[in-house]
Amino acid sequence: MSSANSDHSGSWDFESMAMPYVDSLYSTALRMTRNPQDAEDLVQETYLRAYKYYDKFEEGTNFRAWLFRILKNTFINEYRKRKRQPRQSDFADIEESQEHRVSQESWQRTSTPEEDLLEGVLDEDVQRALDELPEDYRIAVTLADLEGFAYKEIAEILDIPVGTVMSRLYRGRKRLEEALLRYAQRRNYLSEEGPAKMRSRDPGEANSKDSEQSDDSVERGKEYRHGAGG
Amino acid sequence: MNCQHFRQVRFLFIDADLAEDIRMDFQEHWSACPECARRAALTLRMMSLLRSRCCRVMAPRGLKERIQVRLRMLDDGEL
Repeated sequence: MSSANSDHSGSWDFESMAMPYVDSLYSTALRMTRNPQDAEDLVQETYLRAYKYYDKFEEGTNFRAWLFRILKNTFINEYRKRKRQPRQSDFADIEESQEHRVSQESWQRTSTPEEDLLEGVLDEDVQRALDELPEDYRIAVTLADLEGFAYKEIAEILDIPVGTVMSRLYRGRKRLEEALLRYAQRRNYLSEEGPAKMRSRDPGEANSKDSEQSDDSVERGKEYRHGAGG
Repeated sequence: MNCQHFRQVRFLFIDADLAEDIRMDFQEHWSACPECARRAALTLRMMSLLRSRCCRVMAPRGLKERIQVRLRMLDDGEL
């Protein structure tokens, strides 16, 4: 523990450093747990742990990333264990090929430019698409796109190589795009042509092989980033 | 950069820490290939939607205070 002073000077020092991040930690915790009460418990536990290990924090390094790393560890060690939730990403590749078939269909059948289609997307569609991503992709996208962390910081928070960060961002964003197009297309059909046309579509026809090949080469990731040689 | 490579990189193009040579190859392909340019524009639109529509939520009222109380209990050996 960093301090056991009865005048709380230890916790005040920690609080002045750590409390400004409560919204941002809560926001990410909510994306991790998808449940407000669990998110609140997770953030509280994160702060308690961070305070206990405050003396391990190296001054001059990234304090925000350090807090997020504790959030992630707390989530994995405590929350997931307690809830006994399976890792959704175990099934990610299977889901991916299924989703891709639908999305290929969307590309082929739609006569409306996709970009215009996206204009019809609602806030709730974006939230839903993000919430429905497999956990690994959802957390990587949240850290990059909502919290603004760089590849290297995300790699440190999640304890994974930078190439894997890039691969998760690539896959997560790709699935988000596919999901948003699906939602937008559904809204478009419902508003302009009625639901009948949707029933006539058969998402099983298209072939997903191209997508799987392209994923493999991004998995290698290294050649796409700064400082790849080091 | 070929079309297949471009279609992977388009999901990483917005990241500041993407390698500069990849970024330049990407932009070159973008101006040369209308079909890839169309898909890249779509992806940029999607990313902008994600960042603008999916706002960070605020912590619930009182959470900060509840954390502070627990930290001080920890200091006092009550936890």
